[in-house]
Amino acid sequence: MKEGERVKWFMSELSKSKAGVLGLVMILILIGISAYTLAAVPTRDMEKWNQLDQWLDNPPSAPPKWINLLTEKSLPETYIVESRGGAAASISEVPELYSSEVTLKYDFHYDDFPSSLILSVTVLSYSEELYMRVLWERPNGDRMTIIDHIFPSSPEDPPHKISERFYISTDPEVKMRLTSFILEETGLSLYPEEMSTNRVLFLKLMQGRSVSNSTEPLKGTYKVRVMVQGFDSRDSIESAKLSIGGKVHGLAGTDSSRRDLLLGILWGTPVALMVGLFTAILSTFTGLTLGATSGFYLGKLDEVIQRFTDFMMSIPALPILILLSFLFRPSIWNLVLLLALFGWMGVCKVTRSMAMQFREEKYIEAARSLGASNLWIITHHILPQLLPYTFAQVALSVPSAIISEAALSFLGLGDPTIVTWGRLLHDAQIAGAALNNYWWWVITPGLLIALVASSFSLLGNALDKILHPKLRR
Amino acid sequence: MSYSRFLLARAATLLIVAVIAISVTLLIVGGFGVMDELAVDEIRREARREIVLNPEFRGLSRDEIERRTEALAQDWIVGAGLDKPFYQRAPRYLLQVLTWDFGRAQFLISDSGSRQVKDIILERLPRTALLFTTGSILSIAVGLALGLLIGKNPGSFQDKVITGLALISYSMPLWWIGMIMILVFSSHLGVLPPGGFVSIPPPEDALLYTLDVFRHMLLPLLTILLVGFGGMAYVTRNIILGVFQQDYIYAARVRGIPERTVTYRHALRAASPPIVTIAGFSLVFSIFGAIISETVFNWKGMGLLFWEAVNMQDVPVVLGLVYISIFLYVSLIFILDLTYMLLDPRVRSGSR
Repeated sequence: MKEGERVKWFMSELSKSKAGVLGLVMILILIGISAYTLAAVPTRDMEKWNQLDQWLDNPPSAPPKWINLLTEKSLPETYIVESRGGAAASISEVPELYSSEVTLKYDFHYDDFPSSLILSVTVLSYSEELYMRVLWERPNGDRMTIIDHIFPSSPEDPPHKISERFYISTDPEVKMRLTSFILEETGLSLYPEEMSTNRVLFLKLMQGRSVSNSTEPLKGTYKVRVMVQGFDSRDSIESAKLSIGGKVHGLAGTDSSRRDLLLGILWGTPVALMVGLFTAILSTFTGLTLGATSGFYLGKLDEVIQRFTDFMMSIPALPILILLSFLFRPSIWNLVLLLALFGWMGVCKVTRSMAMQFREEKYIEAARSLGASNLWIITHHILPQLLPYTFAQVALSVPSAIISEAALSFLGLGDPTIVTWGRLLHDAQIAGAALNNYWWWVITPGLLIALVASSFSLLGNALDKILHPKLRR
Repeated sequence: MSYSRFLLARAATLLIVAVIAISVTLLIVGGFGVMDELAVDEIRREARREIVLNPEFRGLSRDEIERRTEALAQDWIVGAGLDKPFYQRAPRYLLQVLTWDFGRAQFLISDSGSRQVKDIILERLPRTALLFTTGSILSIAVGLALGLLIGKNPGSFQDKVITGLALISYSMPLWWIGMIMILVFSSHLGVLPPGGFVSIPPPEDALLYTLDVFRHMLLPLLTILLVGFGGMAYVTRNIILGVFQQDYIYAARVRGIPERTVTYRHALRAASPPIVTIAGFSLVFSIFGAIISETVFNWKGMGLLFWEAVNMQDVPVVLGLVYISIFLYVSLIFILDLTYMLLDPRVRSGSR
């Protein structure tokens, strides 16, 4: 058969196997996701993974936002309002005082409270000191001061650009102010420790009803007015940003360090495919070469190779892999080498027995009598016959490679610079994700591991049936 | 005659394998200086203890204590031969490991208070054995029964379902299924404890204690069964399928022997040696799958010890675990060989 015909025959055989086609389609989709990730998500974003201070705007341990479609109660999403400041205007009553103001608006229409509130303000100061007041305006017209702040003077020459972050939800002063607000509104006195700031800020207050009993938030437009006063006409607010931490985030949720799991999951795809394929190719071809050599030459060489294979098969791979990765903290490439080191023995045994059959064939004898060297016979007659079997074997070796890598990463022994699915699960285990019911953190990475592994084993089984001479009937 | 000789040869081979594997591990670990660092650290600690606790030196300045500690440590280091190259000490290390002397742990302590790595590991071993042998036996039994069922009716609906399950379970990490089981049965439904060995505090009554342990075992057992039985059923199916195509089965049926007898006396007997091999290997592998699943279920066995030792950077314990794993693995392979021979009449009669 010519090459073209062979490929055609192969494709038609493969299309007959439903499982094989399914596996192939799944692999193509995964390759598509990898390509998209490599092209669309910058590597910088992945480096951001290890910098925990880069993720503060996200809520911690938040489920994905599509659960709002499944539940009646709609949970708030993370929302960020940002505004550039305006020029300062002089206040008529006090001639020397200038004030500038920025209003941040937030439409709130959820059934649950936000998880955090962070206000970041950057001011441009020419004065010695700059006063800031932040007002919280509720949809029903309630208004309260939540922050009074003085931007400190600086010894350097003006203008000073000062940025400050206010963690409203945990600030004790905000809490104190809110207790007096509640006392005025409902006549109830509360201890500051008893209440959560986010709840009270968004709570629908009712006369005479205790705060801990009411669970309904007040919907509508909230306004945060940031006012700055200074003694120079150039004093102004450069920017103000309010991050309202939701209770749901993104398509995959977040982990306990507020990282967007979608990013980890996307980056895990090319890594998993790469580790799986490279390990499989490397181990299969090592096994193939050793097996073919062993089965063709027989004798002493065969004895040595086979004893070595037996030896490798009689030692426990995982504990030794753990030890080696524990001591040497391999990069992802070295990990591929290590995994391949423990993955070639099965292929070696099978190819050896196949090569032993082939060497007795007449055409090998013919080639030999024509003066062909051993190497020539191996490379031109034995290896090409073993190659089809090898393709199936590569696909069949991918699952165990991926699962082993995931296992090592799960133990915290993976490459620390790279995000893998196993590592996501490691973090999940450390954070007690299964116990805390953070299902989105456990299910997605593991399901993807299973998906990659099963698509390769589906394809591998189909290829094996088509290509393996022994199984063909 | 040849039977026992073969076994002896096999035992000898496996022993050599273990010795070589341990030597190679030692050489890698020692060659990179890990062993020496450990030994020197241990000596420094001991020397400091000696100096600090010695009443004669009480009241000395910190620098002076530091200096004396260093001097004493140097003495001991030379005394222990640690200043000589590693290969000169390697044989002694090897002998220590072969006699199960794995040294002292850096941080971990056994429940009984011992710091010997051997004690720490041996305390954990029975719990691993309990969980994973029970789990494997369960999944082997279920897998065998199902495999027999579908092996006789290839292409049936059950066959497709179980074959599909086998393929899927092969692709799923055992420990991840464990996490999912905890999510479902413990966090969501709240019916089973998420992990641990017994409740805290443990029940006083012996019967209640056993029941409590069993309740804690249920979730991990279910996980092992769920992941394990598919593969076992699939293998059994293929072997049975092959056996049922043999002429002697046909002949037995023609003779009017009841189907039950054909299945159990004729088919299963011929199929049992390969099935046992596969089952044995799945058992052996499941014990090493335990390394990670135990962590998930907080089951205080050898696997969890691996996790603890790795996370606490306790090198001697990690090393000890690897050495014991090698011993265990090799012995399990030997037991497997033994069983195989007992089951295969050709080997038993010595006609091999």
